[in-house]
Amino acid sequence: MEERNLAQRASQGDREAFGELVRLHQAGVYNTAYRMTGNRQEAEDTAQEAFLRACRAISSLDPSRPPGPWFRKIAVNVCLNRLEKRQALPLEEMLAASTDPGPESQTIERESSRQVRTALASLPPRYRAAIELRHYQELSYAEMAETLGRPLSDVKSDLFRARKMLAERIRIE
Amino acid sequence: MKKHLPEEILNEYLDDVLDGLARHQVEIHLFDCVECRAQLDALHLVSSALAGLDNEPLPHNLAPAVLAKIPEQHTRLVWKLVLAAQAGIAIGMIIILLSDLLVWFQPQEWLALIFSQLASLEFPISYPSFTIPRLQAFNFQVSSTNIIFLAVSALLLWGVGNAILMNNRHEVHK
Repeated sequence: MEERNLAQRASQGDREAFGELVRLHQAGVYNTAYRMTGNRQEAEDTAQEAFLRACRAISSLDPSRPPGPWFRKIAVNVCLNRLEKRQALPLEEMLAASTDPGPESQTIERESSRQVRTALASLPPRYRAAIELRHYQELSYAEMAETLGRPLSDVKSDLFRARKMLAERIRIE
Repeated sequence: MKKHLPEEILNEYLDDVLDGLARHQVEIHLFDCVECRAQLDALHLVSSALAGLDNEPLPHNLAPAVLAKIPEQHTRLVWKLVLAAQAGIAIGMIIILLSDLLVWFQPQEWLALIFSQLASLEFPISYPSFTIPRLQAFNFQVSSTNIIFLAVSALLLWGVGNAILMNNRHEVHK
């Protein structure tokens, strides 16, 4: 079924259509959450919370635009809220949790990906959000500021500092 | 001493948001400046590393768990409205019924006065002869027995309605 039609129906409260949108976009939302949290279980919980929040705000979904970016922007904000609220896990603990033996660990993650995830997970939450929105969601500075509800200058500053920190950490590793 | 490009400009150059002239000036500077070129290379390295990050496969389908939590949220408001409406109808019926019964049983004078006042309130529909002001042709003669029957029916309906809703809610939680 055409995605626009699904979005139209979902915005009118059609539960089945919303379920179909979840199925279509869950991988993208989960990966957004995984990049932000650095932890698989946390990413799964966050993705679910993001979809529930999206469902509550479904009337604000514009059916004429693709719903994927809308879901992922919500996911970034949910991650940011969760990361800022809770005491940050020590990095070693977070990485240990993300590489716990389990069905997922059968997938051998490339070494370079592991290094980037480690570096990302070591950034402050706001910096992670800036990197996620710019590099993965490909938003402009203005769109990033709008998504995060923060001044443009702050968002740019976060992005530039995040890149600087990543450059240092990726070089070290 | 040679002036280097500010970090902001380097980042904006990387993000391709500089206008034509500014971009040209940055390129001229980069041609001569090893330090700024090294900084830009580091930023490019970050961009490439981020772009090369593998996507993690989804551990399992999240949709069933998400959908299982949705009905409760959607029905919460409806649930409250239905309960409030049912309770309102039932309480209204009980007040009418009690005011009627207590006048019959001649209770304490002050209580009788209150309930007789309640019973004689000028509702849009007068009791026991029901007339709708704008539809004078409709004149319903209703006995007290009918009122009691109506009240009991409303209470039963309320009870059954709540039982159905509670059952549905239980199913959703399961």
